Amino acid sequence: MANTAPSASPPVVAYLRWLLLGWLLAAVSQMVTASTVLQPLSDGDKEAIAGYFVADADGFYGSLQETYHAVKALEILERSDVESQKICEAVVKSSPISVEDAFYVVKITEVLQCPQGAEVAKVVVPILQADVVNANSLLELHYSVGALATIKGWSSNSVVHKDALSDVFTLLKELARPDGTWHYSKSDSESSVKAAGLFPPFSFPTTAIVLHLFWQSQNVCMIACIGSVKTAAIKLFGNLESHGQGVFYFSESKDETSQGGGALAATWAVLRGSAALAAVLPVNLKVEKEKVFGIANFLLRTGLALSPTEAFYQLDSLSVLEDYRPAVPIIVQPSSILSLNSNNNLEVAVTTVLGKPVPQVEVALVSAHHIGADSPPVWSSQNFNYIEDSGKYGFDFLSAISGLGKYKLRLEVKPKEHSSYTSGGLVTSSVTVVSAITVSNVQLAVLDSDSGIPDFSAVLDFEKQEKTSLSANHLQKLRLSFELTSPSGSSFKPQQVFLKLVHETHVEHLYLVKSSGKGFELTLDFLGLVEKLQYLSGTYSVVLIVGDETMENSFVWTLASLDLDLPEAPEGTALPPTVPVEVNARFAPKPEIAHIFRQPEKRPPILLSNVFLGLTLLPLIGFFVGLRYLGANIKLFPTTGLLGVAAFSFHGAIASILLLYFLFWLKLDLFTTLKVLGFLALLTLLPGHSILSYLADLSTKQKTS
Amino acid sequence: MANIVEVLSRFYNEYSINTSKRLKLIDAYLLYILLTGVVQFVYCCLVGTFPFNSFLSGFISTVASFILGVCLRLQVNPQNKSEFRELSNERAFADFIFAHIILHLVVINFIG
Repeated sequence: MANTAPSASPPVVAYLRWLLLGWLLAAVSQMVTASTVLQPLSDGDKEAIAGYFVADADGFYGSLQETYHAVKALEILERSDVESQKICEAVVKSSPISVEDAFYVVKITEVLQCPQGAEVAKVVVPILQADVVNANSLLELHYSVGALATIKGWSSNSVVHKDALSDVFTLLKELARPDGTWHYSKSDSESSVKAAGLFPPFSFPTTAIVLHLFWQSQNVCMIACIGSVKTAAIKLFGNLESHGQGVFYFSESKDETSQGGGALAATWAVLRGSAALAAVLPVNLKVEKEKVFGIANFLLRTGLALSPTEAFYQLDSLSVLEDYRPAVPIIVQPSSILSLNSNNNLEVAVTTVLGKPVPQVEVALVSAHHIGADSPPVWSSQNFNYIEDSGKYGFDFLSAISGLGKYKLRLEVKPKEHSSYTSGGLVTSSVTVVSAITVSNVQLAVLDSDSGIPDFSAVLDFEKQEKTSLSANHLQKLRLSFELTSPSGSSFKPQQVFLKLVHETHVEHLYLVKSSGKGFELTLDFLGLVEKLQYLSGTYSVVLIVGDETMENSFVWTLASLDLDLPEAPEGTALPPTVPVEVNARFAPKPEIAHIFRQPEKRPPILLSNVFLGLTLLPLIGFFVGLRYLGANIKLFPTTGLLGVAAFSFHGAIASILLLYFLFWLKLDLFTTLKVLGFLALLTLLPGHSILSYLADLSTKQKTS
Repeated sequence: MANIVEVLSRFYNEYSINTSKRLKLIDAYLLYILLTGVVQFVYCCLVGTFPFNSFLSGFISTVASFILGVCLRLQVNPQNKSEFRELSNERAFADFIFAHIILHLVVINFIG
């Protein structure tokens, strides 16, 4: 929050925090769609958060601001391992220079209830009083006025002058903007860039404190000022942003001077400030209950804080919500599983956001439906009874239930006696009614394939988890049958009924057991399964797996040890390697793949290539010899005058084209070549045309003459 | 056997007498091109076609040059004057040069 804190955020970090917020909200929205039941801060979370705050050798937790965060957070978490004495003494000895340091010194003294209050006040008051007069930004005002208000009773010279207070109030009104947000400092009110949507409510605690101090000096401005402040506060809550599914939060502004902190910091500031205002104003600050609950939703669903500062914001916001005057959000957690066998009550735990029980509410069950069945509600409009000393409310839900399965509950929580609790409307959740299922008439038999007469059969007792041993060969069948009965007497159809054959080399085969008539039956014909079993003979364990959501005693039961005799694999069949299913090997690193590069092509020996190079050039030499033999000559080649120039440039241009091609082969690309070729072609064309037309004229003259 | 020798020697005599020097020049050029093509082909047969594009480029260069040379010979032969009435020798030569420029551009591009 402060300019001098080590975590001062350049714009890049502020942007990263936006990204983090976006990610957080995405995660939050996932969680929100997944479960509708909100949880208070759990003990595990509290432990984890407390672990963030590690004290130095001198008892401090870093800078003064970080130390204040730490001691306040640990106080909220009700931890007693803070070395308050050490910190108090160190704080008194420290000589704060800036108003921010003075503020944190005072705050730490307040939280730890240090006995050296008067000495602290003596040191700090001159700084604060000077700053109250000279302040021109919200932050400085917040520090100075806030600290002064805190140390009001500690010493005798901490009274703030009346005029100074009215100056402060005027400044605050100047800084207020119509949409409920606030300018950062006086100089900002001109420039529109900086003032766009600034970090709001340092003004609130400041205003609240100023109002409180006004009270004492009984200034007349009060009534009108209260009205404008209240309006501003309500407008501020209009800035609440929603992320759907009932999550509300305040977002930080994108300004450079807003010091980063993200939505958590903004929400904390609004909560602290509005709580301070609500404590001071004579009338109620009206904030919609859904919005308050939405803020609680946001705070609890952001997950574990990522830094000590975030942890402080989260914890302090939650502690403000514990007794927030506009509305106190409460969390309603019904139990999620009920067992018919134990016949418990349906219990609902009602707590504050930090987990403290709330005894003064009425919990009512609006309706309960069986999910999946289109039947009328099982229960409607029933009241819960408060169970003494436990913070829970109970109700005999199971007395009207006969079937197993999931039931959808809608609960309503009404506060008694004008207390302002809010549960965010109707609470929906589901409860699963489970029970133990009876397994009976388990028969395992080995049948002869042709006749169906059992060679071996056994009836196994489920209670004792009996195991038998049998043997079979590929000409026989294995048959299993059993019955499942639910407590109401009807046959039960679970979601998973499997028979597993596990070879001694850990090769597994799964088969689905289908329901038939009153029970379940499976017949394995080994003659057809020989290939699937990969011709593996040996000892197999026969395992029955039955499981369901509403079954309390889902089981994995080794029925028998089966000695199976299969024929040998025929010659030539390539068996796939039998993979042992080792659970951990699935997650072990895979074998490394070595990249095999393409083999270069075979080239002829260099000598041979060179010989043929020579052979290719040989006909050229032969051609020149032949030319000489034929008597070809260049006697008529014009060497003087324009013709000479034309002739030379024509042949030169052709030679240069060939040179260009040579360079093209070596390193140029087609585009460059084409460009140069165009130019050279022009150079060839003009002299060529002139000299060839000269030669043509010459030959026609010769013909006519 | 003797017949062939006689035919060849007669052919050679007639050729030497009846062909103008200019045409003999072009014939020598054509023979040179032919031999170059043959050498390239023999090399490819020996060592295989690995940089196939190079072999094709070189071989087709000789083939196309041979064809262009034959075209030039046809066009400048005075015995074919009736066919190429408006085409002077110089014009034929200019076409020959132009075609060669384009041919060699393509050959160099393809030779890799």
